Amino acid sequence: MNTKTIKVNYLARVEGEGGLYVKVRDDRVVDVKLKIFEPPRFFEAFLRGRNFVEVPDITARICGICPIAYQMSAVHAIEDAFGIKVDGQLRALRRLIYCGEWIESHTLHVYMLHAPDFLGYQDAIAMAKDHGGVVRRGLQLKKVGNEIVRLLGGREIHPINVRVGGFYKVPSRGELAGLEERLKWGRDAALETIRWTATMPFPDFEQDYLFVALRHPGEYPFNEGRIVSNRALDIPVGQYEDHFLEEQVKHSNALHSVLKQQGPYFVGPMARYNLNFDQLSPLAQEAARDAGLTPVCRNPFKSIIIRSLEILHACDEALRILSQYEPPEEAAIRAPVRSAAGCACTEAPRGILYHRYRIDDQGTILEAKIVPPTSQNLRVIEQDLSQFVPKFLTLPEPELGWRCEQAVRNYDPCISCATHFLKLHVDRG
Amino acid sequence: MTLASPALPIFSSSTWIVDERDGGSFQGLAADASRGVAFLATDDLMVTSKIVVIGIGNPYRRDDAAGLIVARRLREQSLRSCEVHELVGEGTALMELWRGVQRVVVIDAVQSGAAAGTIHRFQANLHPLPARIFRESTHAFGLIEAMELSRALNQLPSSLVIYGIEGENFDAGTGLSQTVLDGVDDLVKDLRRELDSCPAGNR
Repeated sequence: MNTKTIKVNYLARVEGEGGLYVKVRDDRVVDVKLKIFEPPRFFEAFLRGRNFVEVPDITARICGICPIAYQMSAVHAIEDAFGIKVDGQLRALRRLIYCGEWIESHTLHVYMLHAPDFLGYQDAIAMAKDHGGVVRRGLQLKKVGNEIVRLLGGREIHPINVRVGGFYKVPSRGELAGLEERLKWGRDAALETIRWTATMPFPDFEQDYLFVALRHPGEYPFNEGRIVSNRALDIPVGQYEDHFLEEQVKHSNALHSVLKQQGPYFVGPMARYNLNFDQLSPLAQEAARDAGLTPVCRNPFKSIIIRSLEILHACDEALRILSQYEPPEEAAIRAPVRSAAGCACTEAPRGILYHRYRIDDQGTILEAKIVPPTSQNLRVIEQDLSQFVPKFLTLPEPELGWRCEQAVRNYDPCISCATHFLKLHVDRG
Repeated sequence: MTLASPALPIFSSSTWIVDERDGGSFQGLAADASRGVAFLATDDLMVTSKIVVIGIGNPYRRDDAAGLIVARRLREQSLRSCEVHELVGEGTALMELWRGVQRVVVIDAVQSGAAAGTIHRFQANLHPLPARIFRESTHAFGLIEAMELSRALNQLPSSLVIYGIEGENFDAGTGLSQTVLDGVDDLVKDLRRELDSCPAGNR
């Protein structure tokens, strides 16, 4: 029997620590394991006994790249428990800060982590030697997102201004005024990013995925919406745990999430795009068509174009919010503490992020559950690799390993979030 | 520990390990006013004559906070020529801080196997850093990447001095080990003397 093993001991250019193991027998992939050895972090356990006020600041620490997502899911879940709804300009400011996080997180991935794969460079540093102008544009674009987060969040990393009921402090119109010019530049830069990524070489690889994302009748989803799929799922967030299941697997410190009776599912920019194309800004829809994309895309390698489209949409949406901004009279609405449970799902840059809390009448957290997007994508990533590897088995080992890593990076996995990533090992026997 | 160059103590106080290829000197480095100017047209770059001091670390990982503590103490001393920042070490934020700046000092915790409290010094604008001794977070883009990307883009400050403070306890929690705290004290003293003697506007 002709056997082969592909092994990447440490995956590069992903957030966190993981490895990859692929076992091949007679040109057939018989086993794929995305090994997550980043240690578990026990956030759900140490939230117990803390006051609800602390939750957005504690959960923001789960990730340095998407802290806003954690804060947003946390505050919306607690507000659900207390029976309050944040609306008007406070709601708009929450969308605005989320735009900032999408811009900075997506730009980091597109330019620094994923583009080198397509252009044949070891990393962004090597790429910068030949494409200095492009990398500079990426850095400036990321900065636009950072500035939004800094302005509304108090600081760029682990922001501190988000609270249950709203914010600790809201900006004046004057304080936001400087953002407009930056965002207009960002919109142009995002358009250039889309044109640039659309010219990259994409492997011919399409799969019949089960996509899951939020969907809201009036907007491209950030903080609210029903959970929908391309195969008839359409549920309120409160039913999440009736339909989705987290499973333990031996090779991963991160749980794997599946949709009951249907199996692995795909979350993140491509799922959002496929389920919400009509809600993208008109400019983003036009840019998608110009980039050669149809309203449904099933090639995960093209996620780099879709992330770029979402950067454009986020710039557009941020500009729309700014143009209508009037500072609210109060920075937050009152949170009436009561013994209750609540949950929320928001669209983190990498996909849906589910939080549920049970709280007592003193506001103490009794139970917390957090399902990050990366753990929801892990099974699909493994599935992709088992389909993808056979097409490239004739490649020399280092190149095959690199192709596999590129396929993993399609999902911008955030392993730190998921453990609650990569080493590649191909076992050819 | 293995460094590219032999250890060379340059200050009397604590143990110093110096990348001697730069001559171990803070002063007398040639300024290069042209750096970063290409970016000016598109991103309102301000070229500053201040020395930018950046402390990096995680305040909740014991000795990892050493760089932050040094920065904090220097800030308290209000040195005229300095602008002091404390960062968690995210690479693009670092690049942003040092872009258009002539002279930058970065202080970070390191783990090389040397005695706790040992101070390492590197002239990063001249040579790549020994990446393995710097405690990168799991973030894919940190100090080392920021420095090498800046080098590739010709955006490195003309003087970029990195001080690494050897830590011994990087567990969760706050508070530095005593030996690391001694190293911090010595470095603050020496840096204050160095930085205070640097006239602002020395381009």
